[in-house]
Amino acid sequence: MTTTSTPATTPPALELVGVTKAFGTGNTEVRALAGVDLTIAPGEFVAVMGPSGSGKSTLLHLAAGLEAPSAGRVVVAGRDLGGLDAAALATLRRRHVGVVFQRLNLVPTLTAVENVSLPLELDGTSSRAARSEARDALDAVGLDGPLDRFPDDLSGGQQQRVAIARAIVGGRSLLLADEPTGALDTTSGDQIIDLLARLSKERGCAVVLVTHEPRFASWADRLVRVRDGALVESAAAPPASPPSAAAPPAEVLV
Amino acid sequence: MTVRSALLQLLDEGPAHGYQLKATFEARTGGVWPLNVGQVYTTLDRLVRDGAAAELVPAGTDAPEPVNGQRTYAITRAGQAELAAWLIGAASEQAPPRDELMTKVLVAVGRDERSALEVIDAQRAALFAALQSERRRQQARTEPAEVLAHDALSGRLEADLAWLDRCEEHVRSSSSDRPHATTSRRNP
Repeated sequence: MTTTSTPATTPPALELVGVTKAFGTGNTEVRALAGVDLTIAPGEFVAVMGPSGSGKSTLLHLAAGLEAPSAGRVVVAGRDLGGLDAAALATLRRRHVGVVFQRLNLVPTLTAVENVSLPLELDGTSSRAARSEARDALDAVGLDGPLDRFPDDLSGGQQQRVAIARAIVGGRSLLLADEPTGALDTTSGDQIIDLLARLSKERGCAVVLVTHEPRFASWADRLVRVRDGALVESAAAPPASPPSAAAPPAEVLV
Repeated sequence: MTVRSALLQLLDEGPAHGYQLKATFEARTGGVWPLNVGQVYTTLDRLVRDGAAAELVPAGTDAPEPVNGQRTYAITRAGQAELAAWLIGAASEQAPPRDELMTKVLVAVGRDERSALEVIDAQRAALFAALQSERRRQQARTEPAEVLAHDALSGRLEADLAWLDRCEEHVRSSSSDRPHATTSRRNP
């Protein structure tokens, strides 16, 4: 008897099956994504790169349920988003998916802890329980001092930490980050990506990071490139081997 | 030339013997450049020959005899002048026109789009894997010289990856009949 057991009860954090996304129709149709397959395991950290206009952001919007695919299935935490009505989709998003953008999108009139507890309160959690979860999330992102400050009183790096805390609060299973380092200097950027890597490992929260900087992508477990609406997975190449003595006899190709 | 000047820098901080110089050089360069002690002595011999360094003669002796088998060296005024010129001079390390990555990709870029992208993708995957493993090892490093030396190495990998992106853009924009998923971007 072998002891290799697979946790069959835990579905992938995200699954795209044959996903196509087209904008416009007929002669003006543009396919941002064309038949994309992608599976991301719980706790996996995947970087998505590719030239601008290649479909990276569309991929993230589909995973977040902000847009629906023209064809194919988007499955988050085992639930096919296509089968959900608007209310069920909103609930699934709030419970399972966190999103972080380059621009911070914090509510300026709420304190750090209020910003983070907001999604839980919207979901019906009592204010007291939501605050407590929010403090845990802020602690996990390394922000335990300025909890009662307003976004404008925090540095860019601190604001991004608040946004990440808001994205993971309540133990969500999928964190989607679109150029989260875009507004930060290299050192703050390094710290933010380091934090994402830590969250994926320590909380089992899958992370999808869209970035154009190889430096930040290098923290990821896996790199995926989007090119012309298709995915190119990077498999590490074997080291180049010099021609060996046992090479077959020379053949001239004309 | 770089080793010669770096040894002059170390001698400028105080007299030293060959093994000390080897150990200090390796520590200062974060362990990315191990030196052979023979190379250190050859370089010291040349520095003495050129008047940039001198062997210290123990007091009361006429000839430079090794003490406990260790000869001690010190920098001269000429050596200090050479060092000062080297430190502020532009780094003259040859640009790499024969760099392996550059040659592979440039040769491939001259071919059809598909073969060019195949080479670019393979090289990108290899560079990315190297960058990933640099990143993982960097997290365990604490010695500042080591951290900075490896920052320089990963910075080069990042620059090579950015260059591959530019090669890819070039290949794709110069290819007239590329197959693509979009149908509306053809020139009128």
